[in-house]
Amino acid sequence: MTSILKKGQVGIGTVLLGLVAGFGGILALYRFVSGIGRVSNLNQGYPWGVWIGFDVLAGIALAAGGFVVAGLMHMFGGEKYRPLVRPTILTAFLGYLLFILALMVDLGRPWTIWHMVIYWHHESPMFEVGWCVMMYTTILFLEFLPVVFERYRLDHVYALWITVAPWIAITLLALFAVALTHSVPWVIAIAGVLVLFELLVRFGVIYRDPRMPTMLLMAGIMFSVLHQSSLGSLFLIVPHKLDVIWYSPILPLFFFVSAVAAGVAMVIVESTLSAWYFGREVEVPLLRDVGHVLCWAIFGTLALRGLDLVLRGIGTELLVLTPQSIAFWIEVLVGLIIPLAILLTPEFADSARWLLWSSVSVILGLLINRLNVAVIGITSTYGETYYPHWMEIAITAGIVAAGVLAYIYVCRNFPVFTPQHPQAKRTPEVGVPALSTP
Amino acid sequence: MVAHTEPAMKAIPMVMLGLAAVLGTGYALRTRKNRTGEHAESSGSSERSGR
Repeated sequence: MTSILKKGQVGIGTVLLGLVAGFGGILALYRFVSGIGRVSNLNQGYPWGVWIGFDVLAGIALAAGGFVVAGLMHMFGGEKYRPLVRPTILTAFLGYLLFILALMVDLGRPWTIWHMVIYWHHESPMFEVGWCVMMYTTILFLEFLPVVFERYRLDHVYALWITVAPWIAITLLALFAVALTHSVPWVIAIAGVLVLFELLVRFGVIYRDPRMPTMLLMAGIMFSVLHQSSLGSLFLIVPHKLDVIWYSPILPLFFFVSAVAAGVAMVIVESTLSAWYFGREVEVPLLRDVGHVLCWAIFGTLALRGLDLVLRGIGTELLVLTPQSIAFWIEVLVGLIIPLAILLTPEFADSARWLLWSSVSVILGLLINRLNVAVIGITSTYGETYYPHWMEIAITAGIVAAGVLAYIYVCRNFPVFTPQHPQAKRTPEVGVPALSTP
Repeated sequence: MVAHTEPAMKAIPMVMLGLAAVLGTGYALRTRKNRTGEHAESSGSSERSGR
């Protein structure tokens, strides 16, 4: 397979992405100059709209591949997942940066965001999400640094990073425990386990990965588990506003499980599309394994949702024709039933194309779910209605386009696709020499 | 503390400690098995090469 673009050539798709990103950027500037009311239809009844539903809730869930693949599967699945690690970390890192950007646009007073760093409200889920995102973005940055070191042949800095990065991760986790628990015994217990693990790694009792400190992966998993679920906790405070179809005491668990499924699906989509775009072989055997994980994640989500609805006695609400019930069935059909049917069909499960479609379906289902929880399932107590302003959608489209452009740029200029894998063929326009990793 | 979110917030330190213990132990066990496999493989290849 050959790359669709020659060196230095800019395709029509890239130009379009640039235009969408540029237009979104201009509208975002207009929002800061003229105020949020001029570019959005947000109101007292619906203070959270498409920016929170799509950019924040769905965006963070789609970046979950960073901890599912780079963390869990890499830690416990072994070397075979290594080719997926760097592209996934890049996707997650860019995803979180863009989420922060989107949050700045959405916040009424974005200049006060630093308050959460010094004013600790350890009883607030929003404080926890804010801290987790801050910490996890730092962890993703640390995880991505080896790509930069390789690109600029900074082997000595790489060696220093291997030594220092685990202790930075432990410090961040301990600081997080201090801020969220305000309890000395808990902090000592958590930090003690982490320090013990790192010392056992240093003294050779536990295997030391020469390329990626395991403590970084562990920190990424811990922060991700906490804030993916806490995004669901944010909606536990509105039982009188959120429709009973979605309001559940285990909403945080739903957010976590569905984020795992969406993160895995995102890895398949990103890996397949980037392989086509950059003229590399699609790693079908590897993606087939990822597809198995996706199948189990969808099945887990479906079983949990069904059990929750049965135990809460939600039946008639799903059968009466309302906008909420229709939205629920679309969400379940698109996000769970269709992809599960595809993945359980042996002929489709071995096909890169069908793996891609099933993953796209899971991602669409997640987007619908998050919009259902944040917008469609919310009933205003003030009687207002909400439809997204065209500028809200344009700014969101601009943020997504900027993310895709940044991904393409980094992949073209940095060794994101690791040369360790035999199928990872370099395209001429990448032009980055393969370095031996320490 | 808001009553609805209290259980979730109170679970944070337990989740952190549990994850640290489970991930650390799981990784140690997984890599120990791998290293045993590597040793067996390398000794097998040594035998095959006549060393």
